[in-house]
Amino acid sequence: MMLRILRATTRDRLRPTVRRLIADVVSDGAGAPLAGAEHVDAAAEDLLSHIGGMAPHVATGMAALTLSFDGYCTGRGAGRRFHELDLETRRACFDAWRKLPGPLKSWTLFYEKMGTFSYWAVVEGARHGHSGATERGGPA
Amino acid sequence: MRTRQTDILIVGSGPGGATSAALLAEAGHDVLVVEEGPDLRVDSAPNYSAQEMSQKYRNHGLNTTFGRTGVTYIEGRCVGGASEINAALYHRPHAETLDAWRREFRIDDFGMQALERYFVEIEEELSVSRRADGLAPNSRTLVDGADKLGWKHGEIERFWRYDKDDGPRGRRQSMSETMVPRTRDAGGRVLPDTKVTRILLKGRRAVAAEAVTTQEGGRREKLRITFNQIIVCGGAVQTPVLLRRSGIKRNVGDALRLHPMVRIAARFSETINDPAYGVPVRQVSEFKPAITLGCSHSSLPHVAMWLGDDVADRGAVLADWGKVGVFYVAVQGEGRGTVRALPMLGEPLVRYDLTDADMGRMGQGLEHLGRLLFESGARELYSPIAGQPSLTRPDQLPALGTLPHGTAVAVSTIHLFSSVPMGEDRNTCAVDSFGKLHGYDNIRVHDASILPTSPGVNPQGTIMAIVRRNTRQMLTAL
Repeated sequence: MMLRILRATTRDRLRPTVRRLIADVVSDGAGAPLAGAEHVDAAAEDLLSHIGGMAPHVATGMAALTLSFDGYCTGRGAGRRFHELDLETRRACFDAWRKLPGPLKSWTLFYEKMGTFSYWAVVEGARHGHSGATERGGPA
Repeated sequence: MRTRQTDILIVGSGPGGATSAALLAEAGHDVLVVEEGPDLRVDSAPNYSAQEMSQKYRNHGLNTTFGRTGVTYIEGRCVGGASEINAALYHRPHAETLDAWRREFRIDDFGMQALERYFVEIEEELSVSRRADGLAPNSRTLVDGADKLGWKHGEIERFWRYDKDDGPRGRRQSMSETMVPRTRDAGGRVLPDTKVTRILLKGRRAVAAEAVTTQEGGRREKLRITFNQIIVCGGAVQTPVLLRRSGIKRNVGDALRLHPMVRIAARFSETINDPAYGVPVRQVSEFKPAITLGCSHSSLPHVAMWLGDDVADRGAVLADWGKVGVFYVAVQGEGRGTVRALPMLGEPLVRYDLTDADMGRMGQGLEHLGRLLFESGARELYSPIAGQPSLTRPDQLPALGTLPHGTAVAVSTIHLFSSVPMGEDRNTCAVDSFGKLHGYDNIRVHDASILPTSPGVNPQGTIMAIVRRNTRQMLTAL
């Protein structure tokens, strides 16, 4: 029970950061998500579910890095959290982490790849009723 | 704690476990297959979709190795295992590879001649065949480019059936469609949603397995399964973890190998994606076994993911995403890794060190692939290296050719093996020439773990053939 509460609390804490990270990696230069902002919430829930599905030690590391990133941005943004910052500062924060070594760089790669995948999977699902569809192994 | 009893317990239902189960059940043995994942139809979710990742991939497909450059890897976690989620590709290995394994690891009665009958059986029983629905447009780009350069290429066969009831696209012949039903038809039992956590030992024998089964609604129940023989078939990561958790550690999880892979997206002036074709099956073999070039699955989410981070007009490119294909470079890795069970959690901790040569081969492969794609008419290549601009001319290709450690590039793999190597050399091998654990009377391993090193081709056909050979040998001994 305690573990479930802890997971739900962590998810609530991560949600605004994850949502904004996805919106940023799938946006044009002006910060508008390419296929519409309405898909970002569903993509964030999808990505949070994927993070929750990771092996416990990896999921814990991913959550800790995301919270640390938020803390780093709060320091840089005069007390405002990542999702409350303007686009320019958010991009500067993300770029700064991308240049750091080891797991921090891998963390930015994760959000770029999986954030993009989740968002476009939701877009695809909205258009066709499923995501990433191809041959299903059954009759066409 | 509930108890169950069986003659032969098989842990895992992928190509190794399901093949062993079917052959043993059909020979009249009492077989129980325990599978950690759910029992789902082969078409319960579209291939390579987010739904499939949630349903059938271990940890949603988000596993990574630890090392200087991390490698993302995927494992099937459902009845049928990896055969339910992969491209269903089938290769016979090179005869020279099998000969080298026989010599270096001292494997008795082994080689292409010894395995020939098992390859033939697999090819018949799993309908190994070429595509009946023609060349996918993105495969055509690979063929055109290779032809212009005079490079060798070929179609890779798949376990895929084209009966008239299957429709024009045919039907995947994964384990849930073939060997699992055969197991059940022969009286074998399959228990999904059940994870074996430990094998209990008494001297040289395994006597029982502890497991946790998850009921509908998420309620968990402990289970104790007693048996006469146990065959562990959890794959190259889960098998060594289970053995090590059970106290079996000699040469277990010390020599993991894999085929590292990098991808690149390319835009053409005409549409090259037809999602109905699914995974393209052409490969360029000019640089095999060291380097293989091929096409990847290219749906909208995958194209978007592999576009890279420096695309001038991403919106326009994605609005016309049918013109963009995703292509891959797979290399025969030289690195080695370890698999350990984390204390308390019991989860695997996989370390793998890509060598400088591995990084060099991937870079070299990207350069070859880029050359081929430009030859076949690509207008723009989207570099997989973070921060690197896209390429529009062949003279820019050397920028792809250097991949030092620390480069922000996504390296992944779907082929892992060699973590419980097979052979009579007890200094390096964990199981004997037929998959029985050295030092134990009734524990066997029948999966990718026992391949001694990298086969340099898709390992699935090799695994199934060796498993058939080992199961037949086991039958003579029972």
